[in-house]
Amino acid sequence: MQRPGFSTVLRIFLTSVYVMAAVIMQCSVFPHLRFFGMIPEFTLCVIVCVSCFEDEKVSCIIAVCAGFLLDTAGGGTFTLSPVLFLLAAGLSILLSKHVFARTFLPAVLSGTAALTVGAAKTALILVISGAPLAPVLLKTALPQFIYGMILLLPVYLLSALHYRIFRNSFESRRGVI
Amino acid sequence: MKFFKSKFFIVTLIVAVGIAAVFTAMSLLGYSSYLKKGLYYLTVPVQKLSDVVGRALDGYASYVTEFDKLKKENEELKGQINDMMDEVQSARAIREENEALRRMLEVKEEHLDYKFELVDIVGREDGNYMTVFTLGKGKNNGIDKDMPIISSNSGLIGRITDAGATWAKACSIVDMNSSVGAYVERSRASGIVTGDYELGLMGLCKISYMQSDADIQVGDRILTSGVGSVYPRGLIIGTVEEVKYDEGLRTKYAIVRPYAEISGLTSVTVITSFERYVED
Repeated sequence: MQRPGFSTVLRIFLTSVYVMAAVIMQCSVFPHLRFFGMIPEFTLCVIVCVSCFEDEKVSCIIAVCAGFLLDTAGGGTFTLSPVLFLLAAGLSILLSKHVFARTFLPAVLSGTAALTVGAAKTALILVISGAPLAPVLLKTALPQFIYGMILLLPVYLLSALHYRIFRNSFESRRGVI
Repeated sequence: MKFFKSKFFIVTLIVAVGIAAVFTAMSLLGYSSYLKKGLYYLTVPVQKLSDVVGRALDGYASYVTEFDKLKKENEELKGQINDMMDEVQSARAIREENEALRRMLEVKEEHLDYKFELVDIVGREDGNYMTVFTLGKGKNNGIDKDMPIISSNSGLIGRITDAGATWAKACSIVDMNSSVGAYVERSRASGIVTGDYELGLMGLCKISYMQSDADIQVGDRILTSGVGSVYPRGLIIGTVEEVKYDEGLRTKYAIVRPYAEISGLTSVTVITSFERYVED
């Protein structure tokens, strides 16, 4: 097994910081930047975009950790984010590294799917809590999805910039941007 | 789809589902507090810092996201302000009418022979100082030609020049065609108050045809003399602002500021009946 170089470790470390910052921002900054009263799935967008560039295994581990951290910091009862984030990362990896080339398209497709599931998760939790379905879909799930889609492009560009700096740190072909 | 079938992904997924299941169960059973508290120690200081940034952004975010709400609220408030302004206007009109009636009552107590009719001004000449105006009542209400008009503060405004069944035309004392027999309250020096074009533009009139040695000073009050039987005796016309001497006619004249605020009138009082002054 090849030993990772310093730049690889640094890249993974900074990616972790980047995702950690996304989690903290989602819990602190974005509650002040609501869209129709909704906080976006910012961390989910970051996970999707990071997974387009990052190593597969690193992406999956970071996704699970970020999901766990978000659910813990968020203070909710249901800890569904690790699974959702892992599936989103997996879809993003599949589309960007196995189906399409490294363009914005895989991020859009996997982001759309992930945000839809994210919005559905929110709606599901609310419906389980006793809220009526139609208003939940219209006033919660839809704005949350739209807000996430709006954030997807800037997050993708930021991630692309992050990985452009570390483009020489990938040992495998999957890491090449 | 190969990736989803890879051993690594399946293991990670099982771990994630396991974590989710365990922590959801712990949360539901109330056992997760220690773990959460530990994490809060790590995240809260950073959250506090970013919360400061978030609060700074709060105003801007509200501007974008609550624009429609604020716009609607603004329109509703504007509507409420308009309604309140209408109410204030209405109350002001009622108060002014009340004031006018109260003063009229005072005048009536002083002059028991007077009969009054309160009339709204419905039309006027353009310009800051109206000299001719139309009243909303006429002969049906006992108003006829050559009846004197006074303001709510009992100052003379002018007289009716023409009247129909439901309307009347009036001219004020600052009109060039107006002439009112008058005297100085302090010295009893007599003269005639007439309108003047240039003075009329400033809302002033003048008392002329006074003897060259007539005793008149700035600040003197000018009253109606009652001569000619159009105006009752003793109505206040105005106060002297400036005394001058006419070289050609060798008489004194004075510029008079009407006691009634002619420019801002909305209603007037017509004296429909009074005892005529008979000169001894």
